[in-house]
This record gives sequence, C-alpha cells and structure tokens, in this order.
Amino acid sequence: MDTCNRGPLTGPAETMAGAPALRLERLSKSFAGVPAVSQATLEVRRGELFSLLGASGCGKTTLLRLIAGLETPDAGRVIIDGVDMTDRPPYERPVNTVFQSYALFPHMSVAGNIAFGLRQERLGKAEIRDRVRAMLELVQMADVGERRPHQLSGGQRQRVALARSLAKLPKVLLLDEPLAALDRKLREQTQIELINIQAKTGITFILVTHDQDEAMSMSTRIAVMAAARIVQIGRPEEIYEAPASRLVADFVGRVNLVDGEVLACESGMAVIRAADGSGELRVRHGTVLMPGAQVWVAVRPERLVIGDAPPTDGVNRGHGTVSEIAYFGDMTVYHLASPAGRRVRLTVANAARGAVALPRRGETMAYYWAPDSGVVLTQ
Amino acid sequence: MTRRLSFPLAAALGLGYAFLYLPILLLIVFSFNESRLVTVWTGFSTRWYIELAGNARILDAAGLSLVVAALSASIALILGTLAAYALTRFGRFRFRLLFAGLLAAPLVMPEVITGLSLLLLFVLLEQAIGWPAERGVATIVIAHATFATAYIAVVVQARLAGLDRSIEEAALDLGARPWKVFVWITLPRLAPGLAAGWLLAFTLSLDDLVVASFVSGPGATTLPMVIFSSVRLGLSPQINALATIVIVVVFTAVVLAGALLTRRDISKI
Amino acid sequence: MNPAGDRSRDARRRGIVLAAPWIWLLAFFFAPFAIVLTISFSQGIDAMPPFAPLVDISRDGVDLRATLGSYQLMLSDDLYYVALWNAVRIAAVSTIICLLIGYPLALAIVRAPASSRSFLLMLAILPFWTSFLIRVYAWMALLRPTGIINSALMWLGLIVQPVQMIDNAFAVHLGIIYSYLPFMVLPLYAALEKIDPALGEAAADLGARPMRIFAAVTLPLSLPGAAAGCLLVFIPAVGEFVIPDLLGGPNTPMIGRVLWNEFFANRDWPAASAIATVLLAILVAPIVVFQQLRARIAEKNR
Repeated sequence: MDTCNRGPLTGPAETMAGAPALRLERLSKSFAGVPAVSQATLEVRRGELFSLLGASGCGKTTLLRLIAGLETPDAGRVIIDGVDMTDRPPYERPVNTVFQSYALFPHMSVAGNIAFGLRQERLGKAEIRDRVRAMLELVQMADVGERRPHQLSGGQRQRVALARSLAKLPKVLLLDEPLAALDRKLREQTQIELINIQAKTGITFILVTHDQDEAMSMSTRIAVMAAARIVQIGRPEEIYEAPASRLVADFVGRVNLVDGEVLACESGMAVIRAADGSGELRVRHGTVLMPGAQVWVAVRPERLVIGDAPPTDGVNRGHGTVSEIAYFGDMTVYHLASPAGRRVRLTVANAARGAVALPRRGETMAYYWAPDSGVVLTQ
Repeated sequence: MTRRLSFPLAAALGLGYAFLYLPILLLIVFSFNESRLVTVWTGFSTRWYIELAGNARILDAAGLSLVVAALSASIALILGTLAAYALTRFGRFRFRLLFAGLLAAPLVMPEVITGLSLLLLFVLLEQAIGWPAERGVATIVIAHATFATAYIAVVVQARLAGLDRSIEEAALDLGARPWKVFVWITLPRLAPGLAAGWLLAFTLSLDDLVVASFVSGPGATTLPMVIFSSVRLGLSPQINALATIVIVVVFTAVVLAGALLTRRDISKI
Repeated sequence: MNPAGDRSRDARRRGIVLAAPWIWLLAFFFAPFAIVLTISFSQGIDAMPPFAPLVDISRDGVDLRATLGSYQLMLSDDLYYVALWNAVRIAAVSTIICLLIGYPLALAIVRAPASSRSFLLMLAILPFWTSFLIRVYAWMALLRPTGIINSALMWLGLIVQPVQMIDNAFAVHLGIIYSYLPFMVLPLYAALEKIDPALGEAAADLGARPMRIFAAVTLPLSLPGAAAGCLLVFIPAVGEFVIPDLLGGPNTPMIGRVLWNEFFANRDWPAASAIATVLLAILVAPIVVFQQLRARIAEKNR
C-alpha cells in the first residue's frame, strides 16, 4: 500500500485507526439512460484532501452529489465513517457541501448563514454564537458577520460558504469547484488557505475540480474521472509519473505519445519500435511486456533535453524543425516537427536571464531523453 | 432535477385545475343541451348554436367588438412598444418614475374608476371642443387602448430586457443609424413578444364590459354589453353556446401565443 | 464629431419616442382623474351632462360653485360605508384564500418536471384569457337553487332541499377567488422559479428537513411574489362590479356596484365621482406599494 506523502498537511486524524472516512462501492447513477457515474469504487482515509479530477461532464459533480445525498444512486453503496448512508436523506448525513455557486441564503446575514446548520442541530444560543464566531475567525471574516451575501466580494462569499459547511464539523467536507469563480491570484492564495484550514481542522476534504494544477498542488490523492468512470486513483506524482492510460497521461499535464510495437523486454528495459519508422526507443519499465504487443510510449515535455551529445549510451534521440515557440517567462515551450511528421513538444526552464542562445523558428533542434523518463502504456 | 411531485403538491395541482376548469367544462357541456334549462341535461342538441347564428343583435355586437379590439390593440401596440423601449433602453430620463407609474397603473386600477374618469373626460371634451360629438366606437377604442398599453408595455419590456444589447451595439458599430437598428435588428427579434402582446390586448378589449359601458353611447353595443344584459335577466342556453365559441377561439389563440412567448415573458406579466 | 451636438440629437430622438406615450397617458389616464376629482365637488342638476360647472362665468362676475355635498351624502348614508367596508373585507378575505390556493399551485408547477412546466403554467393562466363575464356566468349556472351543484347534492341524497349558494357574500368571494386566481399564481410562480434550487439543497445539506427548508428558505424568498400577487388581486377586487352584481344579490352591496348605480340608475355624476375619489384615495397606498414592488423585482431581474 502506498503511504501519504503529505504528512504535515493530513493532520492527526490520519493516524487514527478505524473505518475510512468514506467508502463508495460500485456506485452508479444515470440520467435518462445516460450514465453519469458508473461503478465508482473508492476509499478516502480520514484527514485526506482527496480530489475528483476530470473534464466537465465526466460525472465528478454527480459523484459528489451522490455522496452528499442530493442524488439517489441507481446501484451501489455510500458508506460514511463506517455507516451505510446510501438510503439516508442529505439532512441526516454527516457530510457538508461547499456548492459551486456557494448557495448562500440571500435573505440571511453571514452569521445567519453560518448558524443555519447549527440551528438544525438544536444547539443552545450561546454555543451557536461561539461556534459562528470561531468559524468567522477561522476564515478571517470576523468583522463581516452582519453583512448580507450580496454585499460581499466573490472571495468573501467563498469563505462564508466554507465556514457555513465547516461549522457543523462534518465527517467529510465536499467542495464542488470551490475556486472556479475566483480570479487567478485569489485562487492560488485560497488554495493555500484551504490546505491550512484542512490541516487545522483535520476534517477530510473531497474536492471536485477540473483544474489539474489545483488537484496536483492540493491533494493527498486524486481520482481521475472520464466518461462516468474513475480511471485512476493515486498520489499526484503517481498520476503524473505513472499514468495508467493514454487518457490520464493526456489529461494530467502535457505528454508526447508515440505508438509502437515491443521488440524485446529484458531486465526492466523495453525496446520498442516506433510505428512511424523513426527508430527504436528504450524505456525502463517495471513490468514484463510481451514482444509484439502494441503499446504507447509517453514522455513528458520537460524530460526532453536539448542537445546533440547524450552523456550515456542507450538514450533515445531525435531532432526536428522548430515550428512554434511560446514564451511563458519561467519556461519556454517548443513545438518541433519531426522528419516522420510527428509533433514533439518540449519545454525548457528559463533558469538564467537571457543567458542561453536558444533556437529560433525554422532551425533544427536535436533532443534526447533517458530510458527512465518515459512510460510504456498498454491502454 | 426531475423528481416526481410529492403527494400534497400533486393533489394541489389536481384540485387547483379542477376548480379552474370544471365550471368552464360544464358550461360547454350544457351548450349542447336540448332543454332551455341550462342546469338539467335532457339530450344532445345543437339548436342553441343555430338560434345564435340567427341572433342579429349578438352578431352585430360581436362584429363591433372585433373591430374595436383590433383597432385598440393596434394603437396600444405602438404606444406600449415605444414606452417599453424608452423604459428599457433610455436609462434615466426626466419624470421616468411618473412615466413608469402612469404606464403600469391600469394593470390594477379598478375598472369602474377608469371607465367613469374617461367618460367624464369625453363629456367635457365634447362641451369644450365639440369632439367626440358622439360616444361610440372611437371612445371605446381610446379607452381600451389606454389600459391595453399597460399590458403590452409589460410584455414588451420583459422581452426587451431579455434581448442581448450587444447585438444592437454591433449594428451601431457597423454604421447603422439608431432608427435602422431599431427597425432591422430590435423589431424582428421583438416580433414574438409584439404578436403576443397584440393578442393579449385584443382579448382584453373583447372581454371588457365595465369601461365600455361607461364610455359607449346609444349607437354602440359591444358583445360583453349584450351578454351582460342578457345574463342579468337569467341563464340562457344561447349564451352557453356563445361562451363555448368564445372559449374555443380564445384557447386556440392562446396556444398560438404560447408558442410565440417564452415562459419567462408570461411569468412577468 | 462634436459630442454636444451628439447629445442634443440623442435627446431629440428620445423626445420623439417618448412624446406619443406621454401625451396619451397624460390625456387619457392622468387628466381624467383630475376631472373626476373636480366633478366630485360640483352640484348635480337635471340636465345633460347632469352636473353644474364648478366655475360659473356670468354677467355678474365669476362665481365659484364648489360643494362638499356629495361627500356629505356619503357620510350621512350608511349604504356607502357599508358598501366600502364590504368591498374591502370581501376583497381581503378573497385575496387570502386566493393566496392559500395559489401558493401550493404555483409551487407544484415550479417543482413539476421541466418538460411539463410550461404546459402547466399555460393551463393555469388560460382562464385569464377567456372572458371574465363568461366565467362568472358559469358559476351562476352552478350555484343557483336549481343549479348543477344543488341538483347533484340532492340526487346524492346529501341534502333534501336546495342550499342558498348564490346572491350572497359566499358567492361573491367564490367569484372573486375564481376570477383572480391566475393573477395570484403568475407572480408567485415567477418568484418561486427564480429561487436557486441549490439553496434548498444547501439547506438540506446543512441538516434542514423538507418542512424547515420550506419555512426558512422557500417561503421568505417568495414573499415579494406573494405580495405582488396579493396586490394584483386585492386592488381590482375592491372596485369589482360584475361579480357582486351577478353573484351577490341585493344584500351584498360593494362600492364598485354602488358607483355604477349612482352613475347609471341615479344619474348622479357628482356622487359617482365622489365615490371614485374616495375609492382611489383608499387604493393609492396599495397601488404605490405595488409599483415599488414591481420596480424592485424588475431591478433584481436585471
């Protein structure tokens, strides 16, 4: 079993024994015959910040709503903190949701919004007041308790929605694209805040997002969804470095894909003949591959190195004409047209200021990559 | 979310529509009753329709009502559209609040007040300038156009507010003069709203008894005035037959209008 | 181009668009009210038109002949304020019952599957398009002692002799509720439809049961629509003439009917004008509230 890589952020709850915070068993839901979630099975441990990542329409929001109880599954079970909650209505489930639209009650003050869930638990007045104040302080909104939602900025509304859901101290907090409505600067700042709040409270977070950077930078683990199915679950670096399929490789980050046929596979090194006739590729690969199998080789653009002279033998080489250059400040992206007609994407970190004389459009550029930079994909 | 209605809501829907439609349904059924009694079923007959077809008084009144309705709806369409355009596109202008208030007031104004006040105006005008020499079609048309303008303004305003302004701005940007933008861009996209508004004004005029009774003269009797004087004397199967025809015509017209109007516009009236 | 010239051309263009509706509204809506107010202070005479001019210009000079006679008449005769009180009370009670029927109906339409929603809405407002007079007439046939309801109840053996259901206040209430129900349903529907379904979900997510969600979220957010619907029913119902005349019998005087009789039967135009003035004075406050509500709702929709 893999272990979490983010010890300090996962909080003390993670080490506690007992049932996982959430378990989904073969959960399915379709709308008018079209599957939105199909056979979803996963386990989220206590204190995790777990992301559901996928393009829009992949079913991730439906999955979240199934967990919250806002949709009824066609099949499968939802087990929260060891208790089967499949048939319970949303108001009996120990989970709370931060809605994408925030869904703040427009006719109640900020404090009234936060107190709403607590009132449903019939807590005492004094206790509600204290908890509301604590929550407002947690999200750094102590001075706006009496304002109405329409008097707040987008970022403030997001925090109120977060405070409102956290106030009930849920077993699992569900966040549906919580940062989608914020501009980029604010989004990055809020990402850090969310991680801090999660660490401080130790509550399990499940985050729905279509933004891979957000999922990568925030999560302990990610479930990648496509076409109603969960296609891979793993830590961010697993998803990035060892994608389970072309689909995941392509969705998470950028990738150069070459299809080919396995010629040989011995002592972890696979030799693959590229289908476009550009030669043989060597990839260090963990499992055994049958000669003759159809596979794809995936190499991340930043693993391609510019240069003519590979330091060791056995590396993969190539060259191409520079067709496009995009300068991003911290790095530059090149598109090369290979002699075989393929497009190769290559990124170069701009480590020094204007130091290196880089190739221009139309020039020919050589590159190489080491056998352990690539991944062999069988599907 | 397409969840099924809970039982109490489904019951509310069923009872509500039964309350709305049972009286109308029974009215239609008894228009085909053989007996003169409109409350005891004796057998199927179309004799009341045949008698109705020979009732010159009702037919004349119906003809007059249609003319009045068409004229007043057309005047109200122009006035209401101009007013709605001003309210949605001009931003602030002088006395905007008074203008909006005057425009919308007929929506709720009791008809007896509207009718009486317009009649007194016509009488004083006749004394002062000799016009209108005789109260009749012209005065009813003016009166109906006045309150229909309010309804048309509401429908057109809702429609205009829903239109994307950037298309008009694009036309201006491409060099079209404002009136050309209105004629070639705004008006065509407004057309369904205008058609529905006209139909609404038309039926409101056809329906009006109180205002028409005040402002009409001896020469002009509208259909509701004939129905009213007949109904006051008691039930009459001919009225059932007439009512059935009116209901069928109106339902057809509304289904047509419903196809033109979006749900949004209807709900804003 | 010269911006000042542009602005004046713009102003001229606006003036042209605004002129026609302004003139029409002032001439045929605003001026008549001023005239009603004036004539309510004049004396009734036996002539055509049956009122004396307020200002009499003769050889002897200008003579002001204003009188409070019509208003004194209204104060001295029970009939007027009984009719006024009746009208306000019947309209208010009918409005409340209309709300109680219309609210679940509007809620049911909003909660119905999206595919049938517009059909259901059209069904709710369809009666509003058919003749008002015909719909009241339909109830006459139902409510009479020999009418359909009484016949049915007697045939079923539930009653032995006809129950008096027409020519009383009950029939007037029923007629108003029936005729004005669509005016209640429409604004309620509009208000309920605008409520973001996510708000109800958020409330459920925070632990509120369905009844709590209704009380804490749906109901308060639909109040502007409920208020608009109530005013849309109440204001015209106070001045209603046709319904009390056809269903109310002689013992249910309402102010609109009294006005009609003063005008048509008694030919007392100053008295009718005085009644209209008083009625308008009573309704000015609700009309202003209605306008403000409309403006607020329109502002929110922008």
